[in-house]
Amino acid sequence: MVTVEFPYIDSFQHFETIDSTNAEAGRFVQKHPGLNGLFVADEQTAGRGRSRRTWYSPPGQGLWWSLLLGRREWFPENPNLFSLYTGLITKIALEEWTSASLKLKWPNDIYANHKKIGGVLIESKWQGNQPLYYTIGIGINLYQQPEDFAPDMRRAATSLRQLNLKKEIHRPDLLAALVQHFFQHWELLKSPESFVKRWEAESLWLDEAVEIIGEDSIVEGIFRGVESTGQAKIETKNGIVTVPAGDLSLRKR
Amino acid sequence: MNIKQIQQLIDLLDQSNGISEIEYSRWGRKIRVSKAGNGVVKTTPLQGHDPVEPVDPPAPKVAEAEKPATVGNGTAVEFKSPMVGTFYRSPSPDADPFVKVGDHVTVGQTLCIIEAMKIMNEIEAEISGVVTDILVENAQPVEYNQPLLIIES
Repeated sequence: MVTVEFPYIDSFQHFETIDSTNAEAGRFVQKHPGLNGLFVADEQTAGRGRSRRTWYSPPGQGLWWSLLLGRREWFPENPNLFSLYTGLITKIALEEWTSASLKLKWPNDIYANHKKIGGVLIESKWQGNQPLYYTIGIGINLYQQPEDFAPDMRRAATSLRQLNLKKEIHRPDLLAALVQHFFQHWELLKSPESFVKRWEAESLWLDEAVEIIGEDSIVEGIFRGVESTGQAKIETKNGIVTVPAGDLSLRKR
Repeated sequence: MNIKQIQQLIDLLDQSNGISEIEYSRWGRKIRVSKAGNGVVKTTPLQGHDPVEPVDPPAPKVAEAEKPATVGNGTAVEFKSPMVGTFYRSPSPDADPFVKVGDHVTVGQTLCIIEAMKIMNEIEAEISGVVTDILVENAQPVEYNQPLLIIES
């Protein structure tokens, strides 16, 4: 029985199975504009990431959920930092459960032991130049053992259970912690300079040789953190280059 | 697809009367040749990456801002980007575009996605009308307030 309290949430909905919690949030907001909502599923049949890449979300193995922000007072002041913020919040909440070293991979993946434990997909809807709502989808691997991942994912994915645990995993409690941290640290978004410093301290591959593969270009160099706009700073042979989007990876030697 | 083939498409379109757009697809590589309202022919490479550079339109395009406010019977409105980001015409690389030139769109219909710092921002139409031009190619960076498409209401 879920007895936890969720602040600033107008509607909480739990599903045994759903296509995607982000999609459900989108359907909900059509009927109930202006409300905040929380959508959790035991299983997503069409969980997705950027560019509709598949996010594997098998029954009961993780926390697959979305936070819908329809209330105007919770539209982010600096949407550019929202992805970084969500990653940071997820890390802070997960650290209540594990003592393992968690890192943030730019812009918004959560890593443990150089493997991905969670990912974020933020979607927002605008009418012309007015935002209507934001949906923050967060997928966290909780119970999978290495053999539960497909062979090609095993080297790249991990779960909370595979880490050193401080306390037993309990999905409702973890969800409550995530939601609470999400609203509690909101002020961080209002000071980009200090927020970015805080984020960099948790960053994966800071000062290491990396590459960012974009739509039609690759930027190679040393990862020097992020700008106050959230863009990645890469020190290349020709100086510092800022990169707005792409897949960051460690450069293979 | 080579320059000569693209030129043939353009000629075909140029000489036609009823046709305003030709889309050609081969092995996942697509190219669309469309005639804008002013009769100018332009080519737009679609999702696939064709090694051939897109052919420049035969005539330099009139800057959108200088276009007359009215084209045909209705009023042409520039639909501008509300943010800096990357412009996407479809929800995923292999999906159909949200809108094409000639489509009638209604208020609330999704026109494009602009990705900014990994937020996928779906942008809806705030007016109804016919899309008469799409000014930005898929997956290209856009600036704040940059005109993205023209809707004639």
